[in-house]
Amino acid sequence: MAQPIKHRRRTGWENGRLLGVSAVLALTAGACIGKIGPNGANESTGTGGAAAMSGSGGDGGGPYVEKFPYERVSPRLYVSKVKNLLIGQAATEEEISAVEKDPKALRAMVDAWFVKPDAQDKFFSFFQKAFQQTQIGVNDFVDQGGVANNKDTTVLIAAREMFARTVLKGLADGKPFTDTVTTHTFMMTPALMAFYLYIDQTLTDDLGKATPSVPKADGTIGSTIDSWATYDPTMMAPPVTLDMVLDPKSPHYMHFPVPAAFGCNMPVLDGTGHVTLDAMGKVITTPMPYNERQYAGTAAVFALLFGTAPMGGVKASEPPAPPIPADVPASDKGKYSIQCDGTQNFKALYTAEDSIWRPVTIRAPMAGEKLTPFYDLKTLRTKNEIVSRMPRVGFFSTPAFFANWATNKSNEARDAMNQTLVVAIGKSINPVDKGTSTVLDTGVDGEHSDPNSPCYSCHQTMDPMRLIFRKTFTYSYHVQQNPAQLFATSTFDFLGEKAGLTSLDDLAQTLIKHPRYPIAWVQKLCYYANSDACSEDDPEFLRIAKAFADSNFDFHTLVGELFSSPIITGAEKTKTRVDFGETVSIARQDHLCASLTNRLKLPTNVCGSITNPTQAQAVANNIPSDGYLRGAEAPALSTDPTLFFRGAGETICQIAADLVVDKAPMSLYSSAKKDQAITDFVGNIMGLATGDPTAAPAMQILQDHYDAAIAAKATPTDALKSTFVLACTSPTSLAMGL
Amino acid sequence: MITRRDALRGGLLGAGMLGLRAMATGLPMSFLLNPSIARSDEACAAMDASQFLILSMSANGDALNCNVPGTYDLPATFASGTINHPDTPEMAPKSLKLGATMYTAATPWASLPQAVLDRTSFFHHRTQTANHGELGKVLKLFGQLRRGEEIVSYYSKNLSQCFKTVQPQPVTIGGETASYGGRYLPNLTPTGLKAILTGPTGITKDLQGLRDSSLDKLNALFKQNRAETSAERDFLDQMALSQTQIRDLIDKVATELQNIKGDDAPNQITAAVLLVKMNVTPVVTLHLPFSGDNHTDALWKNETTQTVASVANINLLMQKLQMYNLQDKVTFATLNVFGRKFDTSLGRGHNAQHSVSVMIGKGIKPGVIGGLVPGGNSADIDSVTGTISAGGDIPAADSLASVAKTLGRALGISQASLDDQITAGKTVAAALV
Repeated sequence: MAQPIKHRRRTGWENGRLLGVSAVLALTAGACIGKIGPNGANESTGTGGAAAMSGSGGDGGGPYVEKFPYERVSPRLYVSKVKNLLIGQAATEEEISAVEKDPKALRAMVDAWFVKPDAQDKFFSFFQKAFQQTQIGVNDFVDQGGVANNKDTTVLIAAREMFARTVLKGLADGKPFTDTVTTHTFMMTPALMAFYLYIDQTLTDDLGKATPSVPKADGTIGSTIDSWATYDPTMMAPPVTLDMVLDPKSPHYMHFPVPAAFGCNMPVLDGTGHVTLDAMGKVITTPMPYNERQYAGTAAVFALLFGTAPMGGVKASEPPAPPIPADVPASDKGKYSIQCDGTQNFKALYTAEDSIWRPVTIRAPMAGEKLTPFYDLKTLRTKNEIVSRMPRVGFFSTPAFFANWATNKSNEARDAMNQTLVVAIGKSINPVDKGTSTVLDTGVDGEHSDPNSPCYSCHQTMDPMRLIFRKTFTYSYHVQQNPAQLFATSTFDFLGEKAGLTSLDDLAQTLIKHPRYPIAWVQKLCYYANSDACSEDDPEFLRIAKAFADSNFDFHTLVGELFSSPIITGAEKTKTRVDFGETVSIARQDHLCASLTNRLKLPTNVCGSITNPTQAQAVANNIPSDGYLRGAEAPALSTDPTLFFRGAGETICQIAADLVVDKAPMSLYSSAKKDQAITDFVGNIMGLATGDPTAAPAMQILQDHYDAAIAAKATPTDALKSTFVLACTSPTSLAMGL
Repeated sequence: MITRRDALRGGLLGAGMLGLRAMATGLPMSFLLNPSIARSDEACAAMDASQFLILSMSANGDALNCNVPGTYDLPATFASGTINHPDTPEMAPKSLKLGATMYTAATPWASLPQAVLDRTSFFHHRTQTANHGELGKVLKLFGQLRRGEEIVSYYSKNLSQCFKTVQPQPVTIGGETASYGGRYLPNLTPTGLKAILTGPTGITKDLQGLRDSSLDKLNALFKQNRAETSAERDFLDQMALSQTQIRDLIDKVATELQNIKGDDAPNQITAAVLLVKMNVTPVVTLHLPFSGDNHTDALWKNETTQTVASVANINLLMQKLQMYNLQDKVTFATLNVFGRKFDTSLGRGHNAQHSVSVMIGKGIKPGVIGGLVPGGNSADIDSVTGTISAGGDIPAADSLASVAKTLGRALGISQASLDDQITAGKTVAAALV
């Protein structure tokens, strides 16, 4: 007997599935690019599906044949899906009925949902990932000057959030979405401003040599900067403040207070000046604490500003090692060294003021302009612009983007360039994308300028483009000063668009004018909504992309058009639906956490506030997040309900139950009103509106479970919590599109 | 049973939609036409030969290829100074025996027990990419595996039928990304697995049992009265199945999970062995580093410390398998996105033309397959003898596909399936018992 086709179990055979999962890109000075598949198929978004149906697996020949039979989705399901996607809430019966009467009614609902704070929160996460500003830790900033293993995460968190906040602010201000590529104004905190200026005021060349270039009080630029980490045991009150540390007239100027002395162990010497050894032959030492470390360089100042007295960069202050007698053999000279403490972490001097967000414009200095030293948080708190020699434009020059896509002598900013293309126009460089430039990177990388080498075509496309990053930044993403790089010629030549590039602004303009720009963003939202691609030759898809462009790239318009479209709802047959079928996906982390948080009216995100480390692990590691991968045009989206997801779902539901059932002082659900609670479990948590034919039977199942729990000697509280978990782990709660 | 005539008449969307099913499931039409006969040709028939796979993958492009047998004792045709090995004491060249032949390798490899070396092969090949982001394409053999599938997915689909594992999908616990059936697999961690598989006790456990029963009712309710499409029904089936799977697994693994203390390589190995032992999945991927992306690696520090540690972890894996009497049921292999060049002590560049896959398992014959040619590239190979053979029947360009076929054969997958699904390369008989 014929088995039904499992629409979800599509294999990579349908090229569109792993569209651009990884692109072919030569990023290094090594040899070359992999082969194209046997069909010569480019893994282009949306083209694989139709082509693949020709029967040969992707060569595009023959008439188009639908891959999946279309199955209509009813308003009851798709209104729930769209509302959950946008604001993490359950659809009401009124909303469902309105759309059942008139499917066009959904558009107005989408528009209304879009402006709600819950939608802004969801899009915040979407933008963080779509612009590739997350998936980074403190150590990813070390190249740019961050403190390795820094326990203070103020700057890290701000850097990850900055661009998403910038986008939301732009949308709220009615700016076109293209602003995300071209803007020089970003939402920043004073702490983040300090970080940007610190990068700018530390000249670091391609060899990694760092030289301070810090404005001094007299307006000149200094190439040295001293700072101290000071422990003063006589200090009683008032404590040293940031104002004192920043005040040149204060005795505490650039002396950052630490709470404890630094400890060293000094070898004990005998009367002849030789070290003394214990019975095991180990050097006998005595503790010798000291109260101050002096540092040279901007890295130390930055570290001190954020509560770290580093071990490295110490200029002076540790007690000197004892002199080594002349008769000591070389192998024993090490015994005369002093062993001192490493890094000391302490409470930093910045305040809550330094975490306040506001729009800040980054501009180049004017001639003779007095600059603000990066550590002057007090001044930065009052500024709405920062003056930086290093340009910052759009999403592709943020520290977070660079932290994701580090570069080096082999990579030569190819990664940053390719990821910029992936974000802006949804495409990664492939061997089939032949550029027309005859100039590679000024002949320096001769290995790849042989037209007969398999590497040639990618390098021909990539190398002239990525030069714009090299002209602007060094390998560690500091300001470029090497004339050989500064005066290189950069050109954009990709998928039909060509432009000379003299600045990051040129690159930004070229990207937003690219015909793929609106297509890329419709596609990104398709993945977000459907956990799958849309067909880029779907007339409905193209209509939406055009509507987006025609609206002067109004993101609200895009969301309204797309989320009410049958491409997302499945209300009507579209080419996307028959190319890709319907995907019912697990609710991945962003969706599930937002849904629980919003439906339960929790003050903070339920997933972000888990205190039990085991539970936090279970949730973070087993409820997949949307992610992005190097070189991949499509986001990394897990959709299948594995047993691990199942287990993690139970964990997060149990956590939520503990927060909302009989939780003093004000609990959302009370075991004293269990019927009311169960009614809400069905309507709100499970999303079964009153007119849903499954609502009443589901209610009965939940009631029966509660009764069975009581019969099993559970307390009313535990029985209601268990009933909540039952509702929370039901398929309609853990899925998107069911 | 569907006849061949029906299938041919029906075409893709004909009776049983056979063609489409074949494409959707990744199974050959022959299998679907007559599963019982086809199965006798497939891995399941040779049940004794079927193996679980623990695969170490890396998108870093580690220098594993630089210090293994086949990269020492090179003929005079190799210009002096072109093939460099770390000069650290820990990586000093040392003799080791693979089968009847003595080779030279870095000390860590020679430190593996002879019993392990007796089933170890070093397969020299090339991935033809120097791009970190192309591990996925390497896993897809750059299109030489049908349907754009990844080899971990292909292996897993075949082997799960034989072992009837809890889930057919591989489990990835090393941080590298893989896909199954075109869908990304979640990147799990050993501690995450431990957290999720530590079951409740007492009243909580009792309530869980009651909830499972109620969830079954909810699943049935939704399938009957809410799901409108086949995709929706399938999802409900999967949800129900995952519920059963996790209960079964928690019961089995609770005690042994306590051995997991972190997410580093030794803990990945503990978790991998446990997943195999509990028949959760036929394929587990993890990450053992051998140098990382060592463009700069002064004095070979990373390459030395990581190679020493990872070979020790391979030995640990073998010991754990032995402890659970799984040594003859599990094959270990490595697959790197690319190798490293044979540069000097300042660091190594990416090498798209040479990489090495280590394979250890019951079905593996000890030895070295392929090797180097002057310039530091991988050589053409003779598929019968496994030796370097200029103009051999496995051109270097097909060596990656040949690694996949050879490993697949070692896992017990039939040659017919391998030849049907992997469209290039050949199985190297000399690598197999």
